Amino acid sequence: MKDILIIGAGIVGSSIAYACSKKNLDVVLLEKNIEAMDEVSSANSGIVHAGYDPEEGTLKAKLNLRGSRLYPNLCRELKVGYLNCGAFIVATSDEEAEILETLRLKAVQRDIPYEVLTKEEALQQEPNLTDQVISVLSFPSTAVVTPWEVGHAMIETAILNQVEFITDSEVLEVLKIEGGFRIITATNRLEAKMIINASGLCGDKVARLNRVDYPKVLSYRRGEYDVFDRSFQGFIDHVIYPVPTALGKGVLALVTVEGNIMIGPNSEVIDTPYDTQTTAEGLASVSQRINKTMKNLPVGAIIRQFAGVRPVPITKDFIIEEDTPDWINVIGIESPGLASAPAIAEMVMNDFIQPKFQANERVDYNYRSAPIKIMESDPKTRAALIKENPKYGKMVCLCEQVSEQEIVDCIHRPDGARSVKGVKKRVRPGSGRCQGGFCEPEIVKILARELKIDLSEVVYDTINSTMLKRKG
Amino acid sequence: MRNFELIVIGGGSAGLAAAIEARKQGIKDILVLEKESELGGILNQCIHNGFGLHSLKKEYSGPAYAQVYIDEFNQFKIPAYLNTTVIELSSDRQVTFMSPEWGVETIQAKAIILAMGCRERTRGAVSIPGNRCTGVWTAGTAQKYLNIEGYLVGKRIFILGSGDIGLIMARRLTLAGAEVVGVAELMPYSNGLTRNLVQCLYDYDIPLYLSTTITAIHGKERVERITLTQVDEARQPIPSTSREIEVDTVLLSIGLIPENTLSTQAGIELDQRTKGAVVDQHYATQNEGYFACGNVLHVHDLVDYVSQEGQSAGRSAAEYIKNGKGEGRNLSTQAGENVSYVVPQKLILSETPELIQIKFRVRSVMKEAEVILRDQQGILQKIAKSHLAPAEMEMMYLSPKLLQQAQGSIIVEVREKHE
Amino acid sequence: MSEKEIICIVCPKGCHIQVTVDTAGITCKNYGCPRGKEYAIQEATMPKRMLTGTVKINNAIHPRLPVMSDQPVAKEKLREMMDELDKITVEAPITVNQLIIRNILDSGVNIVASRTMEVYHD
Repeated sequence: MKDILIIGAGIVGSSIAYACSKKNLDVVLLEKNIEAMDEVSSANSGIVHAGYDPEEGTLKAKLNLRGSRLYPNLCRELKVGYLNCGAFIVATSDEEAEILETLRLKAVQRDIPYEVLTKEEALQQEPNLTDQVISVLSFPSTAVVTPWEVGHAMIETAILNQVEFITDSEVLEVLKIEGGFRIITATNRLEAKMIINASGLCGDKVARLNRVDYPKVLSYRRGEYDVFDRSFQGFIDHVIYPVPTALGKGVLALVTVEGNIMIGPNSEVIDTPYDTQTTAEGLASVSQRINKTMKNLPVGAIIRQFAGVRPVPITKDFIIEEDTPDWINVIGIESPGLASAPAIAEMVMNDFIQPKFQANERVDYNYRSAPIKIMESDPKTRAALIKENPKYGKMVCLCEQVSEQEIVDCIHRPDGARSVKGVKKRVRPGSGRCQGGFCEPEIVKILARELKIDLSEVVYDTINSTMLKRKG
Repeated sequence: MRNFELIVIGGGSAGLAAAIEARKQGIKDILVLEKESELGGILNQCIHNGFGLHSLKKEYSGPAYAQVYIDEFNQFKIPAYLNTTVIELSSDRQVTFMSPEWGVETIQAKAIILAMGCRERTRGAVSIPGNRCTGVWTAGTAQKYLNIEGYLVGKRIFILGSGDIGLIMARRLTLAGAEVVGVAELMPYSNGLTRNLVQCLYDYDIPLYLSTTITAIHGKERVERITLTQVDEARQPIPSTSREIEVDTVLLSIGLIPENTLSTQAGIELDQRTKGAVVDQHYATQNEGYFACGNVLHVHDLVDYVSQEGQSAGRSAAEYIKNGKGEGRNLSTQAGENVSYVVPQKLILSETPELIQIKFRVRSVMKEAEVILRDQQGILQKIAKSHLAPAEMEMMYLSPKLLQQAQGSIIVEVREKHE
Repeated sequence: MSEKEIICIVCPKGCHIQVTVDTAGITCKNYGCPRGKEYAIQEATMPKRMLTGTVKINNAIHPRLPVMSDQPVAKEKLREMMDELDKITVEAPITVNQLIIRNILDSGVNIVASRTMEVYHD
């Protein structure tokens, strides 16, 4: 019997698995899809919020602030990107300037660094801000990360430290047994003393597998985004927010670790959790509302749209609870979920796991090695790498400058890519201006070769998303 | 640092023709850099015929047309590095490339010919909402899967865009056993050659929906249906006309974009209308020693004219290497009414009278029209044309007499005669 | 008697030519030139098309070799002939214009290689 079984390998489940891997615990991480980080965690703003926004006294407030402080070290440990870009909240009227003042007071109370900027100071730092700016509240500690990069790195490191990771395993049934639980999936029966339900969009549904009268606590909201070509990196340097309203944080202009600018999200209530379509109305709403804070947006340089869905807890706060003995729900993790993730894991460890297991620190912990990025290596290293392995010299994705070997590497690492989207998420091909027009056939061929399957068996993202049919 | 007289970036139809001509003009020290594992560029996947009617006086398939140039290229033993990608280009003609065989190296050129071709416009660039399931490709990618690898992208296919690539793929996929349910075209007329309309759509009873576009793509793990909507005169969707069609694949044939990322990096001045470099009649860009030809300069319809342009660029580059930049009186061209662009944008008139070929496209289909060349002083020439279309690049010669007369900027405009 | 409207593809004008075939013979209306008339008659009576496709090839740079008919084939035979292409596999090296299928489906038409493909190992 395992000590802990974690349901869901999104940013929350992965963070908990990572925290567990640092202790002498016998842990299995289960993921419904064939790849982790594929639902809520794959489509959001990527912001590690500074922590001024959530309401005082909530878990959101406590965990966002704590998470924001844990992130720099976490990213160093994981060897993933962390861009301390800072945030600007832009007031365009006197009423809005007053709201900025209330945020400033919250920041003071929480010891979050801030700066108040005049119109001139703000425009000097960010010339593409709207000319209607009156004042700006700046938060230098806001950062952005690439959520799936963080998640995959945590899963990989957890695997290197004895955590078992099983994909393509939707939990179908939960049985109480002596000493714990039996979890039934289509192909597995797993037993564990403690279950951590971090199943994201199906959070309350999975909770109901354990306790049949668990209430429906989640509704769902969708946000749509536009992504700009990387050549516009530098258009803004900070995340730009409008002044928040009762409806939420508003439509932002975002920077990313890789250098793409994004705008979004809108916020729309949807009926079913998996409705990740973009809509003409949603995208129009984003394009229109961004003009409140920005000018000169290079709309001709938009390369892609996407939509992300998040679970909205009825309590308006994270639901982190021991629902029945040793069944821990960590659900309703909406914004600031990404920023809070390491702190959520810490809380789950301190409040639930350690009281039961009192596990020691794992000795001889193995950190993962950073993936080789050929274009980021210095010329001497690059030359040596190519000499030893010529596939590092064969560029497959020209837009994002990714070599064949980097793609091969990402398939064979622990928690390796199993799909075209998995390759795209890990090493970027298909993320550029041609959106895979040139490189996708090569990705498909490499996946087929490395996974020893036919091209017709290669999937785009989910298990049934095969792409091609053999002709003749 | 190694030095070369001429570096050609791209070994497709433009680059091959340019390199061959430069060699014929006496340039010995040439290097072609090609990103694929073979020469020929996009022609290798264009297995249909219709190539070479004008330049080679015979109808070839794409690969066969490429083979003619590849064979000549190899006969001249011109060096080419394959699997080689240019990762950096400087304004003073330093080229940094990466290659499995050669590693990473920076080399210096006296002259560089840009021949990188173009890429396809994507779904994201035109913002077609809906799910992001698999099953949506640009027509060229589907062509590569089928003709190079032998795989069909789907069974029930809808194509957006009636330009030649979309039409060719409609036929190709039908003959390969797929069902092409229809082709939608945003404009009220097709952009493709009549020959392709007949042989790709009418031959197979594939319906063409004009003034129609796809307003949404839906599906869970794979495309399941599209929303087809008619558009008004302003190309805006008319919501009441929306209907859903069940398909498992959408192909997009919605435009080509010259691939000038490297050119921008090197500081080469681009024309916002063509998205390619600003050039003179020698295909020299505004940056010393840089030349451009083929689809990277402006998108062509017929490869025959790509080869011609490549040949001109090769000749000019050779001349530049031997004798430096020519001097002369400067003129420019301008796209006037009903004309979307003119290439070359600059003209340098030397002492020796010469015929200069200009190329342009009209903005819409025009019949019984007049091409009017004028400068600020007045009309220089009028030429009658019975039929012009945006999908057919026009070419005409400016006579030495007209050029001598012209002042400042030559405006090219087109009017229908009854106006 | 049959009446067909043929859109001429010989030049960009694209004349819509009426071709009438009856016991008396063939008549054409609305053609713009003699080449167009000739094309329209052929198209209305025995339409032909060039066949282009691919066949499987081993040990070459790609798994498919592009091929083309050496003359136009009867339009109605196209699909059947395309199916024939799927039945064969060739071996590299192949030279452009090399014969791939002789006298396909007894039509008198040969299928030849559209390009050269040398032996290729990754």
